[in-house]
Amino acid sequence: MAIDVGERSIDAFAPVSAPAVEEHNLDTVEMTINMGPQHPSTHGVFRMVLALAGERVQAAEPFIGYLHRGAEKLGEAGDVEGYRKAVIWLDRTDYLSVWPNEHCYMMALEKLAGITVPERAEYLRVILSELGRVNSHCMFYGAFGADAGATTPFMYAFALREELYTLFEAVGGARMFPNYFRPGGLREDVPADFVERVSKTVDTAYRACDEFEALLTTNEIFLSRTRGIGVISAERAIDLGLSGPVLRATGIPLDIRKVEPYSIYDRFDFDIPVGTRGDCYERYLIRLQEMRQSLMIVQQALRDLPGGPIMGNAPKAMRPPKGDSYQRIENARGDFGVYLVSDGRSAAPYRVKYRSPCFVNLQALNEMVVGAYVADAVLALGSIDIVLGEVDR
Amino acid sequence: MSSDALLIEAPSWMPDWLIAPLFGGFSLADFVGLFVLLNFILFFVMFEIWLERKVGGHIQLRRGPLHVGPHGALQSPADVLKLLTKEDLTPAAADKKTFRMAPYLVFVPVFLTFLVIPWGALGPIQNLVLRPFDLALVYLVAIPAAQAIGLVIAGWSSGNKYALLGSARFVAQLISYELPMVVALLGVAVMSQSLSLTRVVEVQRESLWFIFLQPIGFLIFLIASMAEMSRTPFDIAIAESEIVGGPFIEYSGMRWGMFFLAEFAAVFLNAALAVSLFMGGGEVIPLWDQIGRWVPAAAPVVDLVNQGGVLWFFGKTLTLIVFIQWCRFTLPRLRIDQLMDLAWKVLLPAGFLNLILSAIYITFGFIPFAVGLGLSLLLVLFIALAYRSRRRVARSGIQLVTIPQSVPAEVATS
Repeated sequence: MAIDVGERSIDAFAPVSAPAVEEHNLDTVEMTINMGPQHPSTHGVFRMVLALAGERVQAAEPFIGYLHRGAEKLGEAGDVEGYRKAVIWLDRTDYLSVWPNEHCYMMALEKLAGITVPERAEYLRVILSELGRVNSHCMFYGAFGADAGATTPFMYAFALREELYTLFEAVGGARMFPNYFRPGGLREDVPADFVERVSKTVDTAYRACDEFEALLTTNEIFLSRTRGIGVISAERAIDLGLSGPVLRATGIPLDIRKVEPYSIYDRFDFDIPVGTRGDCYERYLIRLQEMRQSLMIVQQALRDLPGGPIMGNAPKAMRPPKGDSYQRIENARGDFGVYLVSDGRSAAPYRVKYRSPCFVNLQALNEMVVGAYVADAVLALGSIDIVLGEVDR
Repeated sequence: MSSDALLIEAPSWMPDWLIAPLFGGFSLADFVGLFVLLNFILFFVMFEIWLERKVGGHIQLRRGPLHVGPHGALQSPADVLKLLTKEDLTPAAADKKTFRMAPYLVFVPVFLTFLVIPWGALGPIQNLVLRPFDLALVYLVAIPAAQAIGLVIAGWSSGNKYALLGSARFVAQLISYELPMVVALLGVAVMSQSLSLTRVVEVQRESLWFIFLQPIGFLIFLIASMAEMSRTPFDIAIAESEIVGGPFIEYSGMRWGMFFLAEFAAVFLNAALAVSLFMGGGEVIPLWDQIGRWVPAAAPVVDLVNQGGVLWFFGKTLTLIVFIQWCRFTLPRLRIDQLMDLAWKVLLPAGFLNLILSAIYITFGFIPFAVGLGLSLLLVLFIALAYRSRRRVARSGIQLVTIPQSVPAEVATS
């Protein structure tokens, strides 16, 4: 299989030139290996074809689309409740960062239809979105540890995830795909013991974060494996349009929650962790810090949680006026956006478009892995934290 | 050396028909011994797998096997049954004969190495050992190295690129770590003035365990043996997340089970070797035999305890095994270049340092040796502290940026 990496050709990274090989005129062959779509560390059904010289990656070509289900087109296909149904397909794209994405879709729809959301619903949305972010970063932590060869982080992460999913189940009735946010508010009010349960979960999560750090952060092997690996410069990151922790690791404090505050994020006090070098290790550190920041937001929101209705002035049958709307949010992976077009007549959106951060961030993979070792390629892929459902949509 | 010379003086209680040469210089006792040893290893490996799953489970906030038998004790036999009944697949691209042969070539060297291990005293038997071979130290380095052949064959004959990459890594690792291991063993040989494993244990019981006299050698041996077994953090050859199981990727059923058996038998082997070489074999605590000599009143107790040498031996072996398992469930994996750096730039020089210290001990006595060892350990401590401060620098890599927000008026009033 021919691998074309364009202008960044292989000679930028010296091919194998061992003296013995040249002296005896030995034949060295570049080995092409196919990683994925069935591979333990391609995070789903991602596939990349690597050209290897020994252990070094000479060229990498990513292939995507194995999980393409046409979520956007399906979102346009609803008949009666089309605007409400599209979100079901959205849930299935990024199955880890479900809550923030639902939040984003609802905000785009509310903007389009001119619906207002009551205070209580806004607070609950923020609480659940931030817990969703923690949940997603947990998954990153576990998978990244597994990519680095440690098996225990996965189990530690899943212990916390179990706690979170139990909470989500109590709130929305479903563990992974809640379909809980509605245009104008929420499907139903949260259980009576919601505040206590969430505060307990937040405490557990804080402790879990400390455990996560104790297990990997200062581990000498982990440090030497991840520091200086998969480096992307700030300029290059902007050129490629990266967002989320991958961008912030390069030192750019771009977080949609701060630069373009949506919902009620401007009422909370939180910081943005940024890195300096833009390597795998900093992406890891940033995600762990973000978990703590998210938990801080949840605590503040719980403190201020008002009573009152959870549903606004949403009409029963959604028929937004003709027009379009775009809403962007910061989900666990970066700058997520929903674009909706209404033709003013039908019950389903005329056009649905999701701006998926993974898809964009994945562009950086090639630059991260070419010239690195195979083992580093796995870590670089892990540090982008892709969800294939969202890349392929 | 003829095969007769290899035969040891049999214990006096053994009847003639048991020790008379029967077949190719081997007596009936040899065959019985081999049979017992092989079965013992098989059962011990089953126990070890159960233990590993339990230890791993509890480290990972799980419970490990629980349902098959009490506390999942029968899980391993059940797994063996499962492996036996599984289809034995040979891939179409494989080189059939060599593919089928490879698992045995990997297990047999591990098994053969067990022959020279002195298990300690068991009741009236002073020292339970199948072959108290005079060149045991050479033997136990040479024989496991033959594993490399099996692994190359396994990787190459599978007709799979991951397997090929894995076996290349395996062999590179095995050869690189053989060197520090040999140098660590040289230290032991110099200290005990012998290449016989039985003699090494005796010297330790007469003086002090080598773990105290050769701490650097012990660490090198432990690390090198973990690397040779390809256990985490040195499991680059198996590397689930990179090359998906390495040389074993195409194997299924009991052939895969043989590799698994070889891996766990090697863990047992290396733990047992570490106990024999550095932790006094069947001696219960350091200086136990000296206690008997210094305090004559305690002699009967000392003798009684010494009769259960096998128990102490296994206690220590299991401790080491659990330590190896603990490492497996805690540490991430090294990269191949870091692995090689560790072998050639750290362990090998440290091994030579250890060898020089051992030579000082033999030539100039204990005091200069103790001074040298103290200085070396200080050096190691200094390097460790330097690494610690480097880690602290690494942690401060990220910072929290506070972006002030102007709160919109209508929100602030609501």
